[in-house]
Amino acid sequence: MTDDVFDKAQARVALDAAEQARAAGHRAAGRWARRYLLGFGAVSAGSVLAVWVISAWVSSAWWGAWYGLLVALFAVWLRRQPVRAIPRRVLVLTILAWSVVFGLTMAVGVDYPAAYPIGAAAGFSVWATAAWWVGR
Amino acid sequence: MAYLSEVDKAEFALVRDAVELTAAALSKQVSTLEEAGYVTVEKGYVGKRPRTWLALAPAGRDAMARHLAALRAIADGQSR
Repeated sequence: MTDDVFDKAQARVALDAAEQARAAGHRAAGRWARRYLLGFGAVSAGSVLAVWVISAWVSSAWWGAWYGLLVALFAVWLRRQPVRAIPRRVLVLTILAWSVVFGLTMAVGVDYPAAYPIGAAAGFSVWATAAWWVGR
Repeated sequence: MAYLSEVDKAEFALVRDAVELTAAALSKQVSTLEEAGYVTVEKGYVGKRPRTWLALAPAGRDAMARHLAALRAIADGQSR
């Protein structure tokens, strides 16, 4: 059907328009995915540093609830993204890797508080790696 | 459709701004594509604000690939 409607010049114009729209979609997908992943990485790292500050006064029994709150925030924030383009596999792997880092940080930080800043940096690097992977 | 081919789903307003169409014109295009099974439309809320999400259906992805291949063949001066 296409070749009944388009001549050579029109076909080139249509191809250019499609390529521009595709590139715009690609840019928007990368921009929103990076913003989301790096934003959440910063929030999760900040939360671990906050735990470091208050850990002397708050029982470690609350860290499970803290984790649950972060995951809920993550889900709500994801739903609010105007463009969703993070591959499900990347998302699941990122959450799993970050959960391991978060759990280890909380477990070790009870006895060795220096684990909190290290865990915050490691947690952020998990999200930053995902952002790099999605935006490459 | 080319814009949607790069994302899982995108908000109607964002697509409207990207393709520089009015809401009415895009809505008409989307309705036609939805009827053809090329695009899926999902309505929901973010907080209290209504949102419309657009996504390219597998049939739409196939149709677009065929269309672009045909356009390339014409532009390259090949007969099919």
